[in-house]
Amino acid sequence: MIQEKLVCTTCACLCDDIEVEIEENRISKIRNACRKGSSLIYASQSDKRHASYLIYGQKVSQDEAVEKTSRLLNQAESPLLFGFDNSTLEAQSTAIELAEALGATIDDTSSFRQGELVQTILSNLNPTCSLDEAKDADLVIYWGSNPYHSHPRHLSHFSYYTHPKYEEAGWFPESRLISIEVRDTETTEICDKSFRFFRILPGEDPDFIASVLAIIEGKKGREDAGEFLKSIKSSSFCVIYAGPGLDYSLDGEYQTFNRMVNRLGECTRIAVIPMIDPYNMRGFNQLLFDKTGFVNRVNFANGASHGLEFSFLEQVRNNVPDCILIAGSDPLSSLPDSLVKNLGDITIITLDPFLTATTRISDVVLGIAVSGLETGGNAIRMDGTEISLNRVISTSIPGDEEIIRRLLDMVKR
Amino acid sequence: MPGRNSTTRGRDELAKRERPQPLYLFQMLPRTNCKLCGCKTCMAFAFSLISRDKKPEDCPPLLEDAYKPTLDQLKEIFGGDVEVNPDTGLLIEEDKCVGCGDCVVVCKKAITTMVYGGMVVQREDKPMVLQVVDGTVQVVNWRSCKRAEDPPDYCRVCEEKCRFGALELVK
Ligand code: SF4
Ligand code: SF4
Ligand code: SF4
Ligand code: SF4
Repeated sequence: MIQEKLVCTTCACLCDDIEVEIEENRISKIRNACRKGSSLIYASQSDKRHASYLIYGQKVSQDEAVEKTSRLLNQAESPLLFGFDNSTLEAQSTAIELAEALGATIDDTSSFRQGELVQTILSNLNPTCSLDEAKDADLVIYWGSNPYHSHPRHLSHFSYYTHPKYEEAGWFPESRLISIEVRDTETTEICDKSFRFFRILPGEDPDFIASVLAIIEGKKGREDAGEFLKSIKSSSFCVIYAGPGLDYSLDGEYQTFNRMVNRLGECTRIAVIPMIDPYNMRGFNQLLFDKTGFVNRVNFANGASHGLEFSFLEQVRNNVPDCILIAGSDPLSSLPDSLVKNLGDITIITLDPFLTATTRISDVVLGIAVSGLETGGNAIRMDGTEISLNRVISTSIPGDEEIIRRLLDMVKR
Repeated sequence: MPGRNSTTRGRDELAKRERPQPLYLFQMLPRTNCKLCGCKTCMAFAFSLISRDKKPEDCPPLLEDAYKPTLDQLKEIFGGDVEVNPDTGLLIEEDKCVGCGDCVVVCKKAITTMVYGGMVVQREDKPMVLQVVDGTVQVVNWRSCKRAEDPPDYCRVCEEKCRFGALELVK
């Protein structure tokens, strides 16, 4: 039996204190990972896990599948590469190179949610900080996010319970918690006890934000917005964890939110950290941003252009791509029926360690290793900190980086 | 990938996770103090239910047709196979635990600090009582628990902080 440290790649917390016991190349015990993380780690070694190469549902060799994929990509007039949020930085950067070589469009799940927020943070339009710095925050705000389901260890490992002054198991909580939510959740339950829960109606966030801004400017506004402002003013360091609920309600329009944050920054130290779900979405966003100035929706047909028309949804809606390469993402399970039918005419190639709704309708499937478990590499946590992943299980299945690199070499030829 | 979606629960489900109160249970029982269960009173039986020393079926009158809805309700509250740690009286319902680790970190604070004269005083470090293993919490060092001290300190911090009702101290 060997003991190893592992980074959990189930969500963008990238918890790096996971300990595993390994017997005969199989994980037999996992310590510290939450149930969500442990389930995914165990699912990775289930016999039912799919890790084969398929062309039109028939098993083929790795070489055949890779050759077929490169041929399909080369023949395509308007290829689209999508996903990569569950891939390492190394695989992502190879994928961006592949998109350039093909003159393809590239996009990821941040195009469905939170991409705009990450864009504002990378463009320095919103102040941010690392999760390690955030431990000193005396006011923690979860906005449109219930970490107990999306990032179960967020409070115990990074925020509320890790404040240095959180003494005697919460008898004297020096850090305060606010939740802005439309419904009761486990997080709002703590807020009820330890500080404040602001219940707003679905879609009411823009109104709430406008009200906070109005009050800052000396005008009248909602009572709850006034109390919210008062709490922030009385804190010395406030961190807003912005979740998908906020994104959904703002529909990706963050201008007034940014204005509010920056005005609040005049009265206290404030930072915004996006509650990202896929473990390396931020990594993809960062790499594409460094290259093109945009976090997603980029087309390389003519230099690098960016626009809504290059989002996965718009591409499929307008029947633009004739071939889509999807890596580590299952867009089919969340796509409206009207768009699923558009996929019928498109060649789909999927790289995934698991069998998903998307792999089921794919023309070519490339089973890959689970990154962070069966392949090493690096990733960027939700707060922008780079974390290196530790490979603990050896396998002959190649990772996505290796497959994409082979494709890149073949496409270049 | 599986399990990546987040969900939220309604208030009803949140309420269900509160710990059973003896008086509330007592009111559900036949309240005849017939002693058939081996307890002196129905109230004593209610406490034995909470400490898991008795099961709802151990009260013969509850098996009568008229009490079927009550029996079902009690079975729902005390249903599922659970094991009580004999040394700490800690009951963990694995099905409910999401492995968030809140109890682990608050317990660590609880065992390494004490309140003395209104001040928080640091105590010597100890191995942690709880740890999340394979996704759910487990007692790994019961000797560190404040309840295992002599005299015991009836701490309840872990139970109070669990948002899922997965931890219950039955003693
Ligand atoms: S919080 Fe996220 S990264 Fe941490 S153990 Fe749970 S699933 Fe894994
Ligand atoms: S058997 Fe039932 S009714 Fe009789 S004393 Fe026990 S709990 Fe009460
Ligand atoms: S028992 Fe409760 S607090 Fe402890 S890890 Fe499980 S869900 Fe979290
Ligand atoms: S009762 Fe107190 S000391 Fe014992 S496990 Fe719970 S929190 Fe820790």
